[in-house]
Order: sequence, then C-alpha cells, then structure tokens
Amino acid sequence: MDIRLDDLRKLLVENCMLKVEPAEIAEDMPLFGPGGLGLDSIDAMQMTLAVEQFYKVPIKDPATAREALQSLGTLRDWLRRNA
Amino acid sequence: MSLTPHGPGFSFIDAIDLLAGDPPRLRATKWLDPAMGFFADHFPHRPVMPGVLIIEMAAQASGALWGRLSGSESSNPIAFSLAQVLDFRLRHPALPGDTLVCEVEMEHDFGALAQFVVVVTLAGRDDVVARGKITLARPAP
Repeated sequence: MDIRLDDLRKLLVENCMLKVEPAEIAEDMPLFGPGGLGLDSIDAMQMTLAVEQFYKVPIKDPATAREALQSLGTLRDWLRRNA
Repeated sequence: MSLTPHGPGFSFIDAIDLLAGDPPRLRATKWLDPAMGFFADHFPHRPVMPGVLIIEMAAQASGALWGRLSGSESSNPIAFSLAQVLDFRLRHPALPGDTLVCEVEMEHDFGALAQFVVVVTLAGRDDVVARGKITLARPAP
C-alpha cells in the first residue's frame, strides 16, 4: 500500500485539532514531548483511531501506538510494514 | 446503593443491563424525578434536563461498562475521569417524568484511556435525545 506523508499530515491535523499547516509538520518532528508537536495521550488515541479507519489496520495496544507514533516518519514506516 | 462511584445526589443511573455481543455494550436507564433540584431553576416554569447532565449520564454509563469489563465489583465502582466529549448532538429535550435510556458501546480500549459511542433515547419512544462519543481515563494507580 502506498503510504503518503501528506495523508498522514492531514489525518494528524484534522483528528488532533492542530492549529498548524499540515505542510509545516516535518517527517521527523517528534509528535510528543518538548521540541515536538506537543500531542497528549488523548491525541494519541484519536490518531490511532483515525489511522485504523483510514488504512484498515488495527494498532492493537498502547505499546505499539507509542512505537508507531513517535513521528510521521515512524508512523509511515510502521504502516508500510503492517498495512 | 449507587451504581456509580458518585453519591446518590449525582448518580444518573437507576439500572444497568449488560448486552450480549461484540463489541461489548451496556444499557443504563434513569427516571427523571420531577423533584430533582435542577428542574426548579432550569428553567423556571419550563423545566428541562440540562444538556451537560445528559452528557454526564453518558459518561457514567460509559464508566459502568468499562468498570464491568475491567472486572470491578458493582459494590465498588471505579471512579474514571471524563477526559473528552466528542461530536455530541443534543436533539430532543428530556423533561421531568421521562425515563432516559443510554446505550453505550466501547469503541476502543487504549489502556489508560477508552472511547465509547453513546446514544440516549426516551424509554418507549424512538426519539434520540443525544448521541456522541465519550473518552474516559483510568484513575492514576
């Protein structure tokens, strides 16, 4: 499956209600913690649900979500392996 | 005995039924006693249940479902916290003497958080009072 970074940016902005332009989110920008987008655990859950609906692939547990959602780049890599 | 961790003055559930099926579901009911205090002032001469309390009922029903799925005793319900209210629509008023029926389905269990889809109707009628999603958080250990 073709995993496009722009689709992931759009999913992130729409589901986490971010006030940034999708194009401003770099592939390696941390989604959580200082120096990143500053997402919280509720954002992580919303993004998990959005990814599941869009790509029809379940993120089955919080540990997998933490691994996949470090950045958009790690999420794209995880989806390429699992979608 | 209250079916939720709240005191009797803030419990919006009278009865609970676990429903068979996958994903897990629960039905909670609440009779709206005309003597409930908020009806006197919301609004004078035109009593209607505040929408935020309908959402509170939805949150309590969600907590009741998550608690049972977590194996908690009904005599010692877990005090989950309301973390998010999403996509709620309030479509029909709930009036003194109505019985609300809240059906809740777990959409996703995320460990420390869980999201639920909720539909509130009036007993014996098809009117949808409210629908939306609730996210709850487990209490810190």
